[in-house]
Amino acid sequence: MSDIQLYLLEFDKDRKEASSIAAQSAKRLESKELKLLDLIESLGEYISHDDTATRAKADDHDVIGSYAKGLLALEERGKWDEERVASVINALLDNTHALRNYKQQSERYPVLQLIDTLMAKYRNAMKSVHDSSPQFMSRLINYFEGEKDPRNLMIVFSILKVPMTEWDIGSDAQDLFEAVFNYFPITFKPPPNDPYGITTQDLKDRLRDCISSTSDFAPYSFPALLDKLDSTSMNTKRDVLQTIIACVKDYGPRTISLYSVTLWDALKFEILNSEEEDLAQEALSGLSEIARSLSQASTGALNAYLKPIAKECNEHLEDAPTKQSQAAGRILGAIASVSPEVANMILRAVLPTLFTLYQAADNFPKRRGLIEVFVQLIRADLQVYGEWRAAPAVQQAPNGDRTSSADLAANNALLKFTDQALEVLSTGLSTVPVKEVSFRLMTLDALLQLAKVRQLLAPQEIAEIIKLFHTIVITEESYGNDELKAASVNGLVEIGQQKPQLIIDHAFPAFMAQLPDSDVDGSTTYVSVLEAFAKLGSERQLFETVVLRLRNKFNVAVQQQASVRYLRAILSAILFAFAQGANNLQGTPGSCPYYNDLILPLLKQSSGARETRSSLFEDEGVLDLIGRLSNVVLRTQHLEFQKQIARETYTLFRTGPAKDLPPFGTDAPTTQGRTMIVSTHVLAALQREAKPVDDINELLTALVNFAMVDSLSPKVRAATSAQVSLVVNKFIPTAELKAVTGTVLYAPTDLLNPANLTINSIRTIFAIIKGLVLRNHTTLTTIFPSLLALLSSPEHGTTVARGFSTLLQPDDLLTKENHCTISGLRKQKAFSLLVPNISTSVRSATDASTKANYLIALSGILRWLPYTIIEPEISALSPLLLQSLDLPPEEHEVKSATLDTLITFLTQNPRAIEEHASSLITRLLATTSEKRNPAKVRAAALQCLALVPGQLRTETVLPFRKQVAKRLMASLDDGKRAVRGEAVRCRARWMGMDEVEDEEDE
Amino acid sequence: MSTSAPPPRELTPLATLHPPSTSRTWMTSPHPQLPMVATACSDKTVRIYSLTSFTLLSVVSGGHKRSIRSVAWKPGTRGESVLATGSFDASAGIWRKYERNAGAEGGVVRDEEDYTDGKGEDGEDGDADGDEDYTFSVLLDGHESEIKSLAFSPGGNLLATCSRDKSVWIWEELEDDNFETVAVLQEHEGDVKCVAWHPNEELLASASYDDTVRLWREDLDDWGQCALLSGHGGTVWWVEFEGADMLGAGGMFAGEGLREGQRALLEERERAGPRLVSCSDDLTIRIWRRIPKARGESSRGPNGVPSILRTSSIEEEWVEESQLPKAHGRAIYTAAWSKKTGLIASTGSDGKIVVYQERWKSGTSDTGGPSATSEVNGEAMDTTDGTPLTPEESWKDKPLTEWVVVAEIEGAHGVFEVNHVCWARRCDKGKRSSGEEVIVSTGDDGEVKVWTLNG
Amino acid sequence: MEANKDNANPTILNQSDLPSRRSDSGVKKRDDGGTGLFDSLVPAYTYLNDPFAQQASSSDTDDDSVEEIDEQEIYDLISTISDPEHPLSLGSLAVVSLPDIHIQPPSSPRSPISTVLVEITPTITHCSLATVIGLGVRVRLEQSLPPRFRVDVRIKQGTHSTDEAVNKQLGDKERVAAALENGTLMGVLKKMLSTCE
Repeated sequence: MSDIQLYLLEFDKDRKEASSIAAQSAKRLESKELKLLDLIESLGEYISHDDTATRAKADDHDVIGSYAKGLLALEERGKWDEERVASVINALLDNTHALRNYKQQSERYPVLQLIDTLMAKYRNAMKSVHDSSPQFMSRLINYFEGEKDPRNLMIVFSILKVPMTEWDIGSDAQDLFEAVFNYFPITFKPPPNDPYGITTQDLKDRLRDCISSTSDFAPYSFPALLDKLDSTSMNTKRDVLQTIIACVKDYGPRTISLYSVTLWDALKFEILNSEEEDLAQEALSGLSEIARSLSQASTGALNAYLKPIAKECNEHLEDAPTKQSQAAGRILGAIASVSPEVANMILRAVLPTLFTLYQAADNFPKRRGLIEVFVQLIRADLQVYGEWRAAPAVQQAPNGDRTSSADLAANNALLKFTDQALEVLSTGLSTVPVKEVSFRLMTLDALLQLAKVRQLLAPQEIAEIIKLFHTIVITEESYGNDELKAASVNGLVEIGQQKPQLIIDHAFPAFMAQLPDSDVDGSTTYVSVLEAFAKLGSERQLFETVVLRLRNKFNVAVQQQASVRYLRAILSAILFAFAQGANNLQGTPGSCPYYNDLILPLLKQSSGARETRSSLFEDEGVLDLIGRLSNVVLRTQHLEFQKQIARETYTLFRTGPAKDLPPFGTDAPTTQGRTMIVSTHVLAALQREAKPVDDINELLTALVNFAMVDSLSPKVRAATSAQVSLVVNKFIPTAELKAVTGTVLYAPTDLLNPANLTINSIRTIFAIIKGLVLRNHTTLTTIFPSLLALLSSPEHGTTVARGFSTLLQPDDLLTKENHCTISGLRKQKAFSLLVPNISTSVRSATDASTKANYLIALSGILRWLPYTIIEPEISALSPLLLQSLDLPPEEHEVKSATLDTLITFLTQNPRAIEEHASSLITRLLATTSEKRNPAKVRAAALQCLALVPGQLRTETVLPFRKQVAKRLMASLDDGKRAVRGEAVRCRARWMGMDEVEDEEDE
Repeated sequence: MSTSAPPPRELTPLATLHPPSTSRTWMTSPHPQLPMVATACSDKTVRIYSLTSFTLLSVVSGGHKRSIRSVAWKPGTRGESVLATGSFDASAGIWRKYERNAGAEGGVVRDEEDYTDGKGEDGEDGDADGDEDYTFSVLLDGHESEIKSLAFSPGGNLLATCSRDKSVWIWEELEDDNFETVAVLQEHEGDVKCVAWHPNEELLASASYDDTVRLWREDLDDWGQCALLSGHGGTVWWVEFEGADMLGAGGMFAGEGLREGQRALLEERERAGPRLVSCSDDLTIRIWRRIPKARGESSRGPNGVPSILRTSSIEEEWVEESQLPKAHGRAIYTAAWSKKTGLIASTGSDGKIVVYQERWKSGTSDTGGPSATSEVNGEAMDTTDGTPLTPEESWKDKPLTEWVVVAEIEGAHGVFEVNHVCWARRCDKGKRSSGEEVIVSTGDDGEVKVWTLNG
Repeated sequence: MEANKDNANPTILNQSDLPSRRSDSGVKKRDDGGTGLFDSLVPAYTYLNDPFAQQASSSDTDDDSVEEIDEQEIYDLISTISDPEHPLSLGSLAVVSLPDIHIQPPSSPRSPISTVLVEITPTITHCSLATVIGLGVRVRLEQSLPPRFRVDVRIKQGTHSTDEAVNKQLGDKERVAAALENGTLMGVLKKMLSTCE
């Protein structure tokens, strides 16, 4: 009895025994006692045994499976020789049933693994089996036929890929193709937690690889695919298109040239009558892939492909602007961007027609449609020939010789059309009435793109374009939402990136000429010019010049006693340019760019250190801008350099001691008080080590006292508060912090004493605490309780409550850039120290006003906290937030904050407020219909309400549907358009969630 | 020439039935005997309200898959109420409810009787046994699309339904819950919007999207069209017959001293029977009258067809008698003709409710009188000059009566459209006379409002 | 599926040519004629609003001034509806256009009712979807306008072979109501109206 027979008999009784037999035979194989061949034969005879009883076994149990496992095990023990491989594969194909007869996937799987191994490790062996036996391929195919299990299919595909790619399969090509294409388009839903982690995508990819594996398939694959392209299923179409692209890439130019036109005829429909944008995209890349492939073959093949395309697209251009003329533009653009060669061919084939049509066109929409196509062509050209500032990767011409980008540019077919184009476009842009917005935008874009193409236009021609653009910015009267002016400015900026000098030579003089020395006439035309100018300044190569020119203009304006408004505008323009960070402000220990010629003079003028102090510098707006300008320049400077300036923080280069000046001299005249605005920004710029004064504690006390002065203007007061925060945050060492702030918050100054509360003291308290919060300092644990206690103050409780919103509020002065300590944990800390405490207090609070104050404080904190921090407390907080919606209308800040938070809750964790659905909905309805709430609150309430149907469970919300829809009718008639807009959206959401419709309709 | 003076009488809101529906309500139908109304709602339910307590008694639901567009009570039932519902789901439903104190002999109601069940405790009951009390007993299937209106014949044995499928169906109830289709009338060329029965003949009227009104009656054992009333320039939304014996002592035209012409008019009306009112998208409300079958003389009728044949034919001749003064700015959905007072109430898309009254034209008495207008004088001259007019001619050329607006209210349901008005007996404690009527209006806002007519 | 479209290749208007609130001359511009480029230089949350100050005066000052519902607003509501045949908006297909929207104020001082008349222009005269489009417009407006507005949707005279028939259908409240309960039709409408802004 052969081992196999033993094995099989044992198999029933005792599997252990069986496997041990398998192991034995494996041993005996190694020890050459047993010939593998015999083993295989014995199996073969076994499976085709007359004794049906035993025969049955072979089919019933996973004999074949364990047999294959056995062989795999054997194979691992040592390389096989060719004839062993041959005998194994033949034994399988001849002596065992085709796999579909084995019901168990587990049974077929090992067999496939075995064959896969053979294919992988013994290519030549397998190949020679194929070459020697003509029937082999069909037997092999037949052997897998009907496989359905995704795991097995993955292997089948990879097995078959070998012959497809490596063997000569001439006559078998069709069978082989059909063997795999039967599965197209392939899909399957993996079980919920599929252990094998096979996705539909894996299968799709493998299948696609097979189909695209050899050009021998082309005669079968393309017809079959195009046939499936007519499917109504978007997914199938998507599959087909992706597979076609794969084939085009892999089959090679010679084959593709045979099918290029057929493919075009099929693919174009997906673009000309696109239903789904992404399908159109696939089709487009399909078309350009064909072009790419063909441009490696003969020019003739390429021509044959492009001719019909150009012809049809030209026809579509005739009835522009239509869906299909747009599509034609996309097609041409996509194909032209494949290579310079292709681009040239397309341009030559299309542009003549395009221009003729343009001349013949009798209306602007049509002309716009044509230029739209032109723009797509220029963009394509730009892509292959590169921009001025960036040459394209050196091209490999079909004939193999490399062309330098210079010669390349010389071949640009667009060159022949530039004169005509410029003529048409320039007149179009300059002579057409302003109301033809889209037409002019399109011509403007076309000109811009032309100007960008490397070595296409002469400098003079680009200069002309620049002139057109800045004329629009400067002289054209404003129309609509001035899309054209905006586009012109951006155009100038873009050209600036390509050809800065041309901008400086041609645009700048024009702009400067528009900036008056003084604006006594009160006209404000300069504003738009300044804006444009500032934008240009944000371009690196132009920054230098822009700042220089603006500074000069500023000085002149000051001498001419121009209006404050004008000065602000100019300063804003400079600041904008700096804020764009287009320049390098890095200085040295001894020097700082822009300091001597820009910042220093400004500081001196603002403080009156210069004798020529113009009253213009008493304007708080001007001072603020000067401050910010200084801040931007100074804050990045070297510590050494900063130390020199720090000394002047309060004197601002005035002669005389600082002690008479604010904040030290509390009775300083208001004009001096204003300089606090400037010094604040300087102070902000300083690093911790660059102390403005030696005794920081003294400074803090001074600031606190100064803050108590009632006569301060809002801006100066805010500046003072900011300085308090800055000092606390930056200049007091951690060790001293508790002591120093203590002396202010508690005795002797004792700000936190309810008896001492005034609006000014409250501001200062929060200014100090804010500095601490950002440092996340430990004293907060003791300070916060005292602060919360103040909420029950009948007189000042509300003011205190409002203060809480300042603690975590983002601030433009207290930033890392300004060398502040910003703890990453501050929000987490503030939350844990305040929120639980507050929410218990709200519940315990007896009188309404205290309760309200706590709610106000709460929302003041929550509004700045990220969701992740609030999350654990949601269920506790939700009811409180809802209550805060009941606060009187003047607390609208609180309400909008609350609404924002609720919106986050609804989006992040709707379940948490599910239980409050009823009260949420009714309160939101109330909030939005309360006319005394400001529009933005009414609108926010609607935004929030609009989320409810989508976020909360339908069964929870549905009961409210009718009522909400009805109540919202009132909001549809709200006085404010914005609110009505939200009402419409909100109501649509609610109406949308209708009960399950019965679909028995004719 | 309608007078521009403010209408003499006033519509005042008496009550809004509570609670209102949260979605559009289409029409309301008063119970023939009991002080309650049934309202057809777009939320697939019928709401039954009490006219004594003005509160919701029960909600009938579960029978239809779409809006219920129309409801009708079966007249003359005993010991039970029978409700028919017509729905956008193309089916009609029959619902039954046992009533302790319904079905007085012949459905004639004695006031004290409904006053007792007007004490409101009936309302309590109604709420108590809630929605179960109306049981769905029959589903009438056959129409291809939305049923828009249905009506029981005065005898109660016939039910007419009409639909967007352009057909009118007549069902006969053989015995309880066994309905048989006796006719499918398909002459209409558009949706059939409304059906209404003649008060004492088996004569059915239907109004349609094809701008016409058609009349139907049984010829031998086969129903057919007996008249086609065209004239409206838009969809005809509503059609309704005048009450029976409106000319009797109760009628507005009673009293002595009627001129010959006027008496002739009344006699003519006697013979012609109740008239018909219809209202339309074309903003008109029209009154139609039947030309009585000629007795003997064969002159009348087109090209003098021999009278013998005509009598056997069901052909009837109806003519437009008059149009009510134009008072609506948008489509008119209902014109309800009071069976008690002969007043007509109308409403529609413009949200107005208007009440009209027919009266003798002033100055048609032989003596011109001080109020006589020039036009009246002109007429007087006609009568006095040599050619005396036969009574008939005189009122055909110059109508003796005119319709005037006696009451009007804007925005009866706020800014919403009003879909329906009808007349109902007043049953609340505030009732001023046994015969007093209220107007019940049904609106897009889901509200049903009750109005009294004062002055 | 392309073949049986009524109009497979409609003319398309460009977004910037469509009427928009900002582009109609009525709107007030920044008095300095600028675009507000520099406004962001001074962050709003520093000086401008003082949390401590009495907030009684609500942040947006002209809050009591009423912005009436006007033709442009109606246009914005319906121009974004997407055509049932193309992934394009009724506005860009010029099916709806600003001049064809008319608001009539209440007929009498006692009446609260205003009327909106929208005339739609099908892309081609035999467009079988005219009714659906009209229905979409009517539904969008009935759901978006306060109930004091009566909505009339008509096919613009002479732009459609059977415009009278279509108008009659669109004018028929009962038919519209029934249509909204028809699942299949609602499916189409939902798709059209899904573009809310």
